[in-house]
Amino acid sequence: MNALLRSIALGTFVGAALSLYPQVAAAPAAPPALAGEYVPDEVLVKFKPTAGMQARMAAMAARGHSVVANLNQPGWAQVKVRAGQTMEAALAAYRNDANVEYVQPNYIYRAAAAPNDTQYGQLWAFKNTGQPVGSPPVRGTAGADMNIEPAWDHITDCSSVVVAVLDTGVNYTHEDLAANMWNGGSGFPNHGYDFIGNDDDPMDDSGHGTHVAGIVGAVGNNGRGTTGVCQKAGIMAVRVLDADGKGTTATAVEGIGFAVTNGARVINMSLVGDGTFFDTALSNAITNAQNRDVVVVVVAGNTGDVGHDNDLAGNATYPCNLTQPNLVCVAALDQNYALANFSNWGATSVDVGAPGTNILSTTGVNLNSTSYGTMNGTSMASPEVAGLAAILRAFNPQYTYADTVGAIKNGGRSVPALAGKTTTSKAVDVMSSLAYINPPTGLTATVR
Amino acid sequence: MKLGMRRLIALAVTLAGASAASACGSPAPRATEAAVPAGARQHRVPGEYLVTLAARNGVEAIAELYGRFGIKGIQDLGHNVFLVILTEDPGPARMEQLRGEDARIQAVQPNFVYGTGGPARLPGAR
Repeated sequence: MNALLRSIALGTFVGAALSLYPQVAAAPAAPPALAGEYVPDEVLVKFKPTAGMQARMAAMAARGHSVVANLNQPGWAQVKVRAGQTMEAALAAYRNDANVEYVQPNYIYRAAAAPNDTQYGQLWAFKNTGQPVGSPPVRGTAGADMNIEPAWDHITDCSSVVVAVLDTGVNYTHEDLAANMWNGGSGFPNHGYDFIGNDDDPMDDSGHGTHVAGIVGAVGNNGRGTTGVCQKAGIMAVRVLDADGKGTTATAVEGIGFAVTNGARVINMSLVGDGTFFDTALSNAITNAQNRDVVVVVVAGNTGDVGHDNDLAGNATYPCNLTQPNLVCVAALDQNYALANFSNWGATSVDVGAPGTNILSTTGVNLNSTSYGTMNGTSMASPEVAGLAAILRAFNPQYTYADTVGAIKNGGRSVPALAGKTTTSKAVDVMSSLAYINPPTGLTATVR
Repeated sequence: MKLGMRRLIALAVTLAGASAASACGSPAPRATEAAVPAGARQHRVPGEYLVTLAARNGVEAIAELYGRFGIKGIQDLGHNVFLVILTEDPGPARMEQLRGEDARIQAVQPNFVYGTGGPARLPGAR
């Protein structure tokens, strides 16, 4: 067992394991079956607070064990077991000891491995090393990213959570998307529906939706192209925008209804109203999604014009300015985690920021496309957050929309550029959101 | 295809209703909204409206109220909301005025235009 792995397992991950894997921390009535990789000749013992150092040493000595280290967690000791003793026997030896609260194997954790996708190095949103990206090449600030690699140690597969991409369609034959498309069965053999052409083929003839879909869930670790936030995903293609990127209230309402009816738990809508108007029908559709426990992620929009006021307080844009609690509105950050020059913002309407410049993802409208390209926009930031929502709901299947939105907003990382420009002042942080523990709901505390 | 069938039924029912309405009803007014200047941005699709029916009412209510403008088509969007496509566009204000006179119609609004969010050019980008 190499020393580095031991020290990682001891120092860093005891606390993480306790919070991320509550089933390990909770003392079970019956010991769980041994699973996973662990140090073969060590156990971790948690002594009760009443057990003094002498009692602890005596307990170990009586079993032929010795202490390797006392951990910096109250009561926990790393213990070397007797030579030749099986893990099952070593654990059983402590289970009935009155001085012991809990015993478990010393599990092995490994440093996060970056996926092997060939263009992964360009995905600064996931790993910002200050690498040059885009044309002309732009270098950003190392560490200004979504902090996703540690989260991938815990979960990369979001395929249990269907993410509906309401957009210009999706090139579901793209080499990096085909395996991650939603299975619509015989009713929807092309992985979704087209509300522009009113048929069951939501093929993308623009490229925008395909790019968005790749950000949510391009196949990861497959040795080609890019990866999405979710390396395995279930992407539902819902075409509500035409080849020019235009749609209507009607197509959006139908798209939301389709997504909700067919099991989507997250909807991404990288679209905005072409003007300042309140859209009752779209608002009602999002409320219907809320009633079906669906998270809806939308864009702040790109004003783009130099000198234009990007503050949504005076230029309400829908759906971003809607107030349903299942809605998350996203601004775009650049490679230095400054607000992107084109991104709208709003202190009471935009919730979080996410990478939105020089974002590399899947492109191409031809069959079996192998193309990739960079795009800019809040359209690219929104699917980063939709992917995060899918990760959270896949890791915590019991999460409601409120739990999911709470973890996204509260688990984010404070970014000075977003202070006063979003409701949270935060950029999304995948690992922190994954580790965030939502306060329990439905409980009443009584103070006597 | 279930979705297509639902639309087809709604269209057939409504066109029938529209024909009846124009045959039996009072003469249709010809007031249409002023033309939008060339080059102006259209925030809504001309002649298209989303109509929400009050509970327990059928699409014939739409035909009877708005048939005077000529109904080209209607689509059931679910949750009692219908996309109504008119031959002549009376404008949102007139549509709303008529809604206020008929309790069977709960709401009416334009079919707004959505897009991918506008230009997102970086400084110095080619």
